[in-house]
Amino acid sequence: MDRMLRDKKTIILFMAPAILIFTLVIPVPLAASIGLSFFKWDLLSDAKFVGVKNFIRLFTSDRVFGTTVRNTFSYMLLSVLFQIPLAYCLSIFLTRGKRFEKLVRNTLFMPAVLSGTAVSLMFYFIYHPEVGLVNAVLKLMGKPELTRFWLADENTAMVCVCLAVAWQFVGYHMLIYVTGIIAIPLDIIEAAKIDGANVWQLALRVITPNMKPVLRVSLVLIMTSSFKSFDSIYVMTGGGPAHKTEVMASYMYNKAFLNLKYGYGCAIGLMLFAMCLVVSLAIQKILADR
Amino acid sequence: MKKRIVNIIRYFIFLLLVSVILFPLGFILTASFKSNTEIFNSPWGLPEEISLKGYQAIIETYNIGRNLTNSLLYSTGSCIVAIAAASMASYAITRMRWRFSKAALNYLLLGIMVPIHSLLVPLYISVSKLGLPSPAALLLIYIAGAIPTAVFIMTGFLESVPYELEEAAVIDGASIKKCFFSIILPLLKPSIATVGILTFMNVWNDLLMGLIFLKNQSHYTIQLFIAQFKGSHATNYPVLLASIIFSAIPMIIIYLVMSDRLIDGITQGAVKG
Repeated sequence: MDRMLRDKKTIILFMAPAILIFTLVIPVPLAASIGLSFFKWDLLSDAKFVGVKNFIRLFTSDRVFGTTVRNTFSYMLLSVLFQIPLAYCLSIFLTRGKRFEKLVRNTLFMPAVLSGTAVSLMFYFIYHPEVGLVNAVLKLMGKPELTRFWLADENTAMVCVCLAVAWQFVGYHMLIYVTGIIAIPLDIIEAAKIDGANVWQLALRVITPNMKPVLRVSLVLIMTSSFKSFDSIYVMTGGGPAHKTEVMASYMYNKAFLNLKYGYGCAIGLMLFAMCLVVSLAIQKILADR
Repeated sequence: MKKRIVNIIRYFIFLLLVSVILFPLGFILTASFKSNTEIFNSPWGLPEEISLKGYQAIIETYNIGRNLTNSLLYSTGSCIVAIAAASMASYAITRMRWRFSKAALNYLLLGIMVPIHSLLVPLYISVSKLGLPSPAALLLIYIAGAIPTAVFIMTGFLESVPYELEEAAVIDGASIKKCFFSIILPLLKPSIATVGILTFMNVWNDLLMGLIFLKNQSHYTIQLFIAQFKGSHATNYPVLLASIIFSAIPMIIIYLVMSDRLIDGITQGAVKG
């Protein structure tokens, strides 16, 4: 048995497909990306070595990049605010062993399986100034002065986009918390109940301390997905009005694939990667188990 | 008495929560049966007469069937290859004895940390310089994107499975390949389901990669198809709405049929990933 398990040929045969496909598509381009970010290249003429100029430009002369970083962080902050507290309360409210609880949980989760594109288009229509649901409701309530171009108004565009994203993913984060609550040993909860703990004490003193690992997971997920957010912006606002909702991913797409500044696009992509890494490591560190 | 009031409030909140999710979906669904003029004149209310113009247009004029087929091919294709490659690698990593098994695992898991956005430009350049057909390239990228999580889930699962079954089989004269196919693969079924669901969903729902790599309309996925109605192009609302419904229905059906399996898979993938 031992000899069979040490057989080099079999090992190579079993590892080769995964390693080959993975290496070609992830590590090699990553290295190439770092290299390319030092060049100016539109694919038509020859690549021109420009050193760290792309990065210098990102931080000094490119005002829009600074805006996109700020927007990415406000997207992240709004997503955390709209999703985590609500999802947390829902997870506690919906794990009390009552009838129809599971049905409600599953319904809340459902939008998470839809594509970001479909949900964004749906909300594009719901926010639509002429035919949308939001303005129709406002008119019905006799408040026509509040109607507006929700996604084209620079004060409301980002909030509206994040609300749509929250509608899609609140149920998802709630279910992550539910798995955390279910994993708490029943006798701990029973013991607390016998000691006369009420619902609030149970939630605050017994459940919350046990939720750190799942909270960490969902926080990292929201933060990294905010850096990667593209579909919702691309479909709902296209980055407008006047770059008010332009995020790093959509900016990278525009620079590289619409303006054909490939080297510059690489530099933006790498900044996105670096920030993603820093933020998720920071969360892991801050919320580490002690 | 107090208990009864609490319960009434509870079920009222249940109803409210469910309608917050279902109402927008229902709004889109009913609006998709209206004509363009009716959408403008009465955004509220049920359609006066059911108009199937939008649906007819996307099936006949826009040929949405082709996009659905494309998406189905990409999704199932990447599922199958990713599962095959990842299960073989996970077996070699957890069961076979070689010096670099741990290093190989860590190498593959690094992929979880890398957002695909930082790789798009070099990937695009190499695909166009090498002249690879774009659907094949896209498929390869989807597969590579699925492998790290798949290996993570599968190795985690295999580590919890005892060796006895395999030892017994080897004593009975089974080869490594036989062990893998007749013992490990059946054991891996739950992980395969998880990985399959995650991969299928990610590929089916992807927009960005398709947008970059697919130039030929006949290769478009369903997400690319519906994304063309975004923004200023959207003046023919019945078509826009019908295509949203069309793209959502397959995932909703999958969800209704196997919601528990799917929730399990997705939350597991998240918590472990």
